[in-house]
Amino acid sequence: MNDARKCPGRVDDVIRLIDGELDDSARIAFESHLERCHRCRLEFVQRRAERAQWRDAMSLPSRPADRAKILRAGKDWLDGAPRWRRWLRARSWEDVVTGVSLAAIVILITILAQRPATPAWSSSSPARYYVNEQSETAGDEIPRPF
Amino acid sequence: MADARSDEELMTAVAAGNFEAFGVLVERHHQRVVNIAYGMSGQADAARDVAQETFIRILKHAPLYVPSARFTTFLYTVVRSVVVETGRKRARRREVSLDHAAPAAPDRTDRAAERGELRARLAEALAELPDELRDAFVLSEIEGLRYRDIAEICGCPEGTVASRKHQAVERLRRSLSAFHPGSER
Repeated sequence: MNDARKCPGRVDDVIRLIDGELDDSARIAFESHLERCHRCRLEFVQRRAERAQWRDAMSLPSRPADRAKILRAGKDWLDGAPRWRRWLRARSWEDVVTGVSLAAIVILITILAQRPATPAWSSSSPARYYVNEQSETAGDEIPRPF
Repeated sequence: MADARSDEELMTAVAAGNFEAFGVLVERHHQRVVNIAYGMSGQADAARDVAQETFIRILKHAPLYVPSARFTTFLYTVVRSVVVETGRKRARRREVSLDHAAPAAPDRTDRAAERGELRARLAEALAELPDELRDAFVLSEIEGLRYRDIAEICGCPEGTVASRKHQAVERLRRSLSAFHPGSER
């Protein structure tokens, strides 16, 4: 695919020519060589197409939301906002929703893990027995601790 | 209407506390910064985070900016250092593996699918390059900077930049031979 490599030193010149890095005299000399050398001409065409293809592939869109986020973060920094607020403002609402949801799940799991195996409202609960026994011995009056 | 002030004038205004001038710089250069960060880190989300951090640093350090220096050189130097600090290699490896794992969306056109595949392959091939070759390649090939500007950003002679660029192109060609425009002939 790279026949121009057989033309010594010319691949480098092709790259420099396309990058606009040859000075006037070198450029004129190399362009004159290109007219005569089919291999270098082919290399030149391929390199130019390849560069366009690679540039296109490596281009990411600049999203307005990203630019707005930068301006918000910059404004917060200028306003001397607290660190936590600057962090929060630099996040998108999706990030915040995800974070809050994860925190809620963690809290829920923690609460469930700490709950007794037998629920307090169950009829077999010891606390329930205690109240029932006291109620039977002292009528309907609920005993006070002291 | 586009702001007629030069980047250097805008930076001077930013240093004086003009936030609107900062907004103009963000609008003007965000695309380039994202592309460079993407080329260097290989990860789209990381590239956007790098872009944000870069502009915030520009804002913070605006009073230290010397107007005699070209703004773009200053900007790209900051991008490069942010990418290095955020550990581009780690991020890059994650992205490359994700790119391979992600199947192509069914409604994509052939052209878009091919572009997506080339992007993944290019990111992977770039990941294999040493940092100095990758920086020279991204700044020259993707952003079209002059060798002398890249030399200033990377702190090396122009001849070294040319040599690194050449080596990077050669290595990438070998890695991407299936996508080379002349390979089908």
